[in-house]
Amino acid sequence: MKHEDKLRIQAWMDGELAPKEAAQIATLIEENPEALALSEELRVVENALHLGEKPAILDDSRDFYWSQIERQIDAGEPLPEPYAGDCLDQSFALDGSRGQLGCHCDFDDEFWGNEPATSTFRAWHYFGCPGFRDSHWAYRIGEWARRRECGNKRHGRYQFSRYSRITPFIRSRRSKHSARIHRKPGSLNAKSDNFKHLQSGGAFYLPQTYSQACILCLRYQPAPHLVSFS
Amino acid sequence: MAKKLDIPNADDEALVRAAQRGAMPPYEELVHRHRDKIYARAFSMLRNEEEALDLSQGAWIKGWQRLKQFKHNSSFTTWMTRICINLCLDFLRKRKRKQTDSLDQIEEESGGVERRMPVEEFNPTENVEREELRSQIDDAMVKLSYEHRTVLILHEFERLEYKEIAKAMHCSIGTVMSRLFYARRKLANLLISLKKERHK
Repeated sequence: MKHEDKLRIQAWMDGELAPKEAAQIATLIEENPEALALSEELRVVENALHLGEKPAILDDSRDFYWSQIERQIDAGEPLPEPYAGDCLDQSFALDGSRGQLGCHCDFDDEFWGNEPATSTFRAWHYFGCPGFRDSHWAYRIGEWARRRECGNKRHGRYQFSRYSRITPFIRSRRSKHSARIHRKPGSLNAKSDNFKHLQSGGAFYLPQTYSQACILCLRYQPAPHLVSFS
Repeated sequence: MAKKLDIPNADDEALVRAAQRGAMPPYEELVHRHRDKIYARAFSMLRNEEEALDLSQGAWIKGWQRLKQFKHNSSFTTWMTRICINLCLDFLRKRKRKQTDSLDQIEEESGGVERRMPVEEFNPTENVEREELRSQIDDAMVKLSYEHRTVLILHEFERLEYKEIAKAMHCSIGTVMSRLFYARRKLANLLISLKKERHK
C-alpha cells in the first residue's frame, strides 16, 4: 500500500475527505486487508485518546495565582516568556552609588547543562536597575538557586541561594561579558573600578542580603556593600 | 440603576461582558474557574510544570489585554485555550529554533521508524482499566516529539480540523497529515510496548 493511501485512510477516518474520495477509501478498506488493519490500528488509538487526558491540577492558591497575573496586568508590561534557551550571555551590572542591581542573563546549556527547573523574570522590574533597557530578562533557576521557604511554596522556588556559581562564568567569559556591559551604558560606569575589575577578569560576589532575597516578593534589605572583589 | 453582578453565581458570558467593560473582579472569577483547564493544556503541550505555569499565566494576561476582541462566537474557555495554545506553540518554536538538529530529530521529523513499522494487530487497550490506560497514554505522549504531540492534542482534544492545525502550526496540511499519522502510529507502538512490558 502506498504511503499516500495510508494518509488518505487516516483522513477518511477523520472525516477530512470529500465524499467521492471517501467512497474510494471505503472500498479500499473493504478489499485490502492491510488497509483494514491500518484503519483498525488508528481506530484503537483514537478510542484510547477519547478517554481524555490525565488531569493536571494547579496547586497554587487562588489568591496567589491571581496576584501574579494581576501584578503583570497592572504593570502593563509585555508578557513574560519562560526560559526557552540555550545561549550563555550573562552580565551583572552594578551601580554602587545607587545601591541597585540589575541582571541580564541568558544561559547556555553547554555551560549549565540540563538544569531541573527554568523560569523567567524581569530584572528590570524587580531590581529597578536604571541602566537596562531590556524590559525583561531570562533568569534560569537551576541547581544554584535552591529552594528556600519564604512562607510561600512557589516563592520558594525563585529564591536565590548561591551566587558563587556566577564567578567562574565571569572569569571564563570576560571578553563577552565586558562587551555586553559596554553596550549598555549606564548599567556600569565604564570608567569605574568595578568595570576595570570585570574587564580584567575579576569576579564579584553579591552580598548575602541579595542571596537571601525572594525576587517575587522582594523581601530583601539593601546591602551595605553591593560588591566585593576577590 | 444597573443591577450589581453576582460574581460567584454569574455565568461565564455575564462575567466576560463585565470584564470587557474593564471590571477586574469578574475576570478574576473567570481565571479561578478555568485556570486548571488552561494550565492542563499548557502542561500537556510543554510537559514541564514551571513552563506550563508561566505560560498559563501569560495566557490569562494576554486574555485580559485582548478581551475586547472576544466576540462571543465561541465559549470563553475555547477562546482562552486558543490563546494558550498559540503561546505554547510560539514558545516551542522558539525553543526548537535554538536547538541543533540532530540525526535523531531529523529522523523524528520525517516520521522515523513509524514509516516502516508494520501494522500491529495486537490491541494495546484491550482489558486495560480506564485510569491505567489514561496513564499509559500520558506516558506515551511524553515520548512524542512536540510536533507530534501537538498535532495529536489539537486534533484529538481540541477537535481542530487539519487546516486549522496547519494554520496554528505554520505548516502545510500535508505536513499535518504526516505528523498526525506518525504520531498515532508511534502512540500505538508505545502503548503496545508499555502493555507488553507490564505483561512480562
